Amino acid sequence: MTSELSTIPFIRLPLDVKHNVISNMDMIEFISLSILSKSMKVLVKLYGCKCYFFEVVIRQECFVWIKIWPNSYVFTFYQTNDEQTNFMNHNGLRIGQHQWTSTIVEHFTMRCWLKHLLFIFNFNSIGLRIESNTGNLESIINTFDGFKLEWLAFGDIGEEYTKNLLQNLPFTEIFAHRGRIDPTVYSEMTIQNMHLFCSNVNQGVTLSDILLNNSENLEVRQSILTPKELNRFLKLWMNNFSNPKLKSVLISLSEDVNRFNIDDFKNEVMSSISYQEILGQELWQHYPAWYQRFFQRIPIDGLLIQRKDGTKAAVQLCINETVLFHMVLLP
Amino acid sequence: MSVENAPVVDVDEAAIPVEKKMYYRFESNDKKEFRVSELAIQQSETLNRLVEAMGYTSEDVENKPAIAIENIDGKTLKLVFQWCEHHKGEAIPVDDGSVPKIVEIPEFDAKLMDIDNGLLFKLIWAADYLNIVQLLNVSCKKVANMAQGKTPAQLRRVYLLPSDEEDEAAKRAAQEAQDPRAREVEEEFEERKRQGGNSFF
Repeated sequence: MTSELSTIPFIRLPLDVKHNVISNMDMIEFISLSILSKSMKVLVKLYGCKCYFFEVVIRQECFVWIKIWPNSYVFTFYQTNDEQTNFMNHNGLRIGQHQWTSTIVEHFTMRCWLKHLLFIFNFNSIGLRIESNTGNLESIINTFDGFKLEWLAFGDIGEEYTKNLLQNLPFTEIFAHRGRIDPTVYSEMTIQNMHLFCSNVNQGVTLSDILLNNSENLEVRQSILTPKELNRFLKLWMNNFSNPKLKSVLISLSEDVNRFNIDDFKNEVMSSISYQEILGQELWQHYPAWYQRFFQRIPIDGLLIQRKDGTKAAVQLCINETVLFHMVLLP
Repeated sequence: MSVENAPVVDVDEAAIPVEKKMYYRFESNDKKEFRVSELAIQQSETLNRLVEAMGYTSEDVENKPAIAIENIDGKTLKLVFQWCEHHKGEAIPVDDGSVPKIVEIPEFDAKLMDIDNGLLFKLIWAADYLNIVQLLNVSCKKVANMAQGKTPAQLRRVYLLPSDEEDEAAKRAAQEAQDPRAREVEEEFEERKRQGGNSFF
């Protein structure tokens, strides 16, 4: 015996009313409605729910992290049958305890789901974070082929795996890595015109690497550079001998913080360089909006230097958990 | 005469005319009449603007014919005005853009909407037409709640949603329904051409 369902002719409601109903739905019903037909998919999209963060994370499984004001949602891909062992080929999607198992989505692949979610949440790019090298390379490459990647972040996933991914994934303007990269591949990466390049590992980055890096914003963690080399970097920058696109550099030194004191550090880095002191609060308001959003650091006082062409930059030096050098160009 | 020199007159407060509450009269499309307070009408942006534009006095309200609402029936309009009277004086909610929308259905509204879905459907149309924001919100919330815990297949049945194939078939049928007219125009065009005219006009 089937139970009687109470029915209402939803599509005969005015468009603004349909959107009002949709706005009252929670995420599960919202997505269930969107997969029912092409027209429902478009209706849900036109409601205008826009996410502002869309990240796919690959670990021992693959999940999607979406942020829609004021909430954040995590969708996990799961295996819908016992045969499939490659988690990159998982074709089921679930949120919490709910999973979409309907015949309507039987033909959906991970790629289909991602396209669908981007479409209904009015977003066009993905941030991809790969933190494990257990995902089948070919499947990853096929899954993300043609997608616009907003950023790419790699954990410590091995040089070979990293190399294969970098050679096959779409170009991205923001790149971060926590594992070592093959030096040849690293050089190729640094000459690309990126918005932000982040090295969070002892990659053995030299002063030449920094000078050759074509990114607008550069972040190098656990660097083997010395304060003297930072001093040389500043002098070269002041004489126009560095990447002309450069807007900011953040370098943390792999020096023992106990061996240093801030005055010695400052004296070495700023040796023979003329500067003016500038208050942190004053500096903060000159920082670009994206920078404030990404870093949200408490501003510290800076040292104002000037390039030959008149361009000004602020240098901030700090020793707490690490020895930190930060330079940002001022508008 | 200066204000200081004006005669002092004792005022009998009971004699001051108290401003009467104004009740407007509305008539549904099946000729049922309703008397609705001025304050309750403020819940409906459409009716509020209408009565403002009419500028009725208390006498006009009594003497002139009831204001006709031609596309809403009496049963639905009764629910609408019951809701408006119960919520009169309440602030009109403003959408803060959060997803999902935070709407709670008060007990009174839940009882009012404990009706068959056909009438609920009419009530939603009426709330939309009369632009009664909060009534629309709670009735839409009720429709959204009908989707809770349903599988996509059940959701399709609850909302009577066509599949892609059914959408396509409906589109084809609509095109075919238009074709006879198109054929007539074409035939007329051909006939005129045969008669020697180059221009359709």
